Amino acid sequence: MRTPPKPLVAAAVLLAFAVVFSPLLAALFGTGLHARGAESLASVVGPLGVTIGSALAAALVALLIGVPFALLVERSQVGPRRASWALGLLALMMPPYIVSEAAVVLLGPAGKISKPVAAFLGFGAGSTEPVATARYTVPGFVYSWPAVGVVMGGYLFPVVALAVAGAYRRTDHRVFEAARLARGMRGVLMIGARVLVPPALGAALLVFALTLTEFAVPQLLRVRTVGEEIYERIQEGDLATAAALSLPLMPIVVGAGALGAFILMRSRSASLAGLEGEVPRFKGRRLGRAGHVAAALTTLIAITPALILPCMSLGWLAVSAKTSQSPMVGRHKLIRTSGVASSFREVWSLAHGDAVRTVLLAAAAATLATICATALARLASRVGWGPILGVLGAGVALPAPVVGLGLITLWNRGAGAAVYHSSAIVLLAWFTRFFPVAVFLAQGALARVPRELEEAAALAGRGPAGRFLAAVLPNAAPGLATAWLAVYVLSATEIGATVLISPPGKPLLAPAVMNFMRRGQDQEVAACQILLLGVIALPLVLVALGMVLSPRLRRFAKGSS
Amino acid sequence: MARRAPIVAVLILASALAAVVFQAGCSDPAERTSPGRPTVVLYSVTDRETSQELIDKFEEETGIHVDAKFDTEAAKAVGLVQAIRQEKTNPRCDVLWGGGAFFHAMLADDGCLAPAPEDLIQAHGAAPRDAQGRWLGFAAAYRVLIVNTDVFGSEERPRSYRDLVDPRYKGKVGIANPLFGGMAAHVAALFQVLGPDEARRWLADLKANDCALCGGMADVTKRVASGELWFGITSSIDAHVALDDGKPVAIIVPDQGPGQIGCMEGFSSVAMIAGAPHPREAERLQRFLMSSKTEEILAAGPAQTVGLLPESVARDVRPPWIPRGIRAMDVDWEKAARGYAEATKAIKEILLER
Repeated sequence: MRTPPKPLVAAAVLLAFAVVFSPLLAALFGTGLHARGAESLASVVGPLGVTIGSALAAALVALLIGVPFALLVERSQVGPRRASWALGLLALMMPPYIVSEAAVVLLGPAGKISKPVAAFLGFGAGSTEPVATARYTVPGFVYSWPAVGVVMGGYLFPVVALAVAGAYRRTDHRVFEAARLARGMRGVLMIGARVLVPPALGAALLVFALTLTEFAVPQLLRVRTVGEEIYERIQEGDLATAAALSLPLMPIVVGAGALGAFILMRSRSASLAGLEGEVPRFKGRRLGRAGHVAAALTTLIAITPALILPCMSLGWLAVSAKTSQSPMVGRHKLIRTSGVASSFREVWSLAHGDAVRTVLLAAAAATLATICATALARLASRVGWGPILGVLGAGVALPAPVVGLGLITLWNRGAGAAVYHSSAIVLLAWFTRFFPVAVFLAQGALARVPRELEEAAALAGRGPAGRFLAAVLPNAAPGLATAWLAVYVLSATEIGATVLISPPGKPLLAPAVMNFMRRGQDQEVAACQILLLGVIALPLVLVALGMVLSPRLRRFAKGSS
Repeated sequence: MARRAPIVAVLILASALAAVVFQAGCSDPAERTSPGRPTVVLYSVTDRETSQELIDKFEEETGIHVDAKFDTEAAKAVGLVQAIRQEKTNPRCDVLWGGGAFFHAMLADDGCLAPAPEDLIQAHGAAPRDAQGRWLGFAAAYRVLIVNTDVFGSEERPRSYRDLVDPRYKGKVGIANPLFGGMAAHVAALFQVLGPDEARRWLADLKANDCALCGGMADVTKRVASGELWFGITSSIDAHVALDDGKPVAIIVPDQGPGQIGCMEGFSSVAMIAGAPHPREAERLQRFLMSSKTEEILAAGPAQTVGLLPESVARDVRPPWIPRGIRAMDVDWEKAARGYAEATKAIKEILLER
């Protein structure tokens, strides 16, 4: 197989770097770099420690939940396995700010769960007097950096679970049998560690990198991170310093991301054991009854932080919402004072255009990012430049408002204004923010495709495009679909840059919903959350529907022919 | 070949989808159907559920299409205000509505705002405004104390911003993070009214009293309503949301006694952007908003604001639950905006110990 010309690959890599980092450069230099850089960087040391601490906690939580989830669920029967994975992926689709709000509502100092549980355990007010009961609050774990870690780890655990499950599926289980016969349980554990620890650690480092740059969750949980420092500078109108403050995060994110990518790539050695022309699908030992119970319990525990608690919180809002007799008049009265179902109808009538626009643009951004990431990852890997793309991971560390304001500086001038005044700027912002994620996932997906398959296709006379379509794409499809889904979800829930650059008259759903939620009444908040979750889950529902319907359609097609 | 066909079809479909989606996202159906229709671009920090009704009415009355862009409560002052600053050389926005005098004064200092027409400034009467008419204030909302009624009986409720530093309430009081949005303006106003020394003392006492710094005024309201905090400072708009929702809260208008500083009066402000692309339409929108009719709609809607324009004052436009004769803090917003850097420095040093 011929390798692509290096100048072409270099141009593609440079273009990718330009797209991802141009907003940062515009923010740093386009607005005049101030001389307060060193002083500002000194102020970020404390928050940086907290940021790293919460990111480490998130990685640990994701490991603790994700690894047992993957191992037990993968060994379950088909039905429960699909159900568990669907629930796990739904957890990943829950916006983290909804997860953290649920944590406060249910487990906070006056939580709907924490307070009765404290009273039940004898830590309550110590009196039945209503005022004493009202004044009692549970010491607040939720307002701490470990809580940020729990929320983010609970939300991102499927990333670890997917990596571990991928390695497990491709493992030749005869290796385990051999190890068990030779050295008993110890041997099994040793082999298991070699096979599963690298992907688990690699994915945990990705969780670490994603948590480092989260802003909404720490703000809601009153934890001071680097993100808050950056927002302060933006409010002061000092965009250059704000952009400079994001620089210390970059080497950490690049380091974590690159290490994660390296470990994930290495983990493919486990997946290629005994390979002769096709991806292996070795079957391990199936679970017994106790194992099935354990798998169900693990699923339940795994989805509790990011799915069950938010749903409980949503249910609580819906059930406890009161229909007040407000003297208010006008359209908002229908949203606020007419029950959850009517509120939903009214929110839909007010924001359905936003929802449709969000779905379309997020789908476009995801499609574009996945196609470009696949092309770039393939080009780079064929000339051995794959690790260079790890540096793109620094793009994940760019704070959303810096990206938004940088894009305004770049595009609100000359011919670029045509882009800035259209929804194309939103597409560009989402692409810029999440392209590194797509590249990371596409690299992982392509790395799992055995080179032998492509060589066989080449020997059969297929050209580069034919080889890609016939040999690479079918095998990398699950990973690429994950990349598409990840960019779609991240785009549909993005707020920080969207609120700055979205064109007037074309509002998008996440900022609108966030506004209703922050200042809304219970039924309004519940209606908005349902709408947002519906939009986010739409592709998953369509995929599930496709999986259910495709065998029937195939049967129908065969029957008619 | 047969195996390749579905893959190629999927690829073509994906590309076609991307193209269609791009086209749909780039063009507004309303504009496509009526390309000659006059348009005005509004950046609205005022909540969408409050402003949408007025936008609809303006469009109906004038035939001018409003392209509105809204902020989120969490992003206030980091969102639209910063976008206007960044767009200064090539403005996209015609009119900014909301965000309060503080951020409007900052934008005016940056040269981002244009003066209103002279007759509109004259007709503004005693309502708050910039000396050069670069922003005009209307529709007052108040910074009130929101109190949990399960925790406090009617006799023992706090009555002043100073009660936030009362050691009896240690760890049970909250304000919005004063580095951002409305509370940043509030602290800057306190620096201007109390003087820097007394304001710094208040911040130190807040720190000693373990005051919670919440994610916004709506967040303060929620935490008080849930019983997690006993009371805090919030806006009358947010407080009314909780009250109307049947939560166990009461609203106290603070510092009304003799010798006290009065309650901080926030208000909505409207400004035209310097170099706005649609100046005539912008002027019509500003005139529409600066009317007693608009203040009446706002008073009856979720904003629950009090009319400040001369005609509204004469007709006493106000929601029934807001008492008459509220004594407001005497704030010079231009001075407060200039003192923002000092206030922020003090917040960081004292409240955040940096």
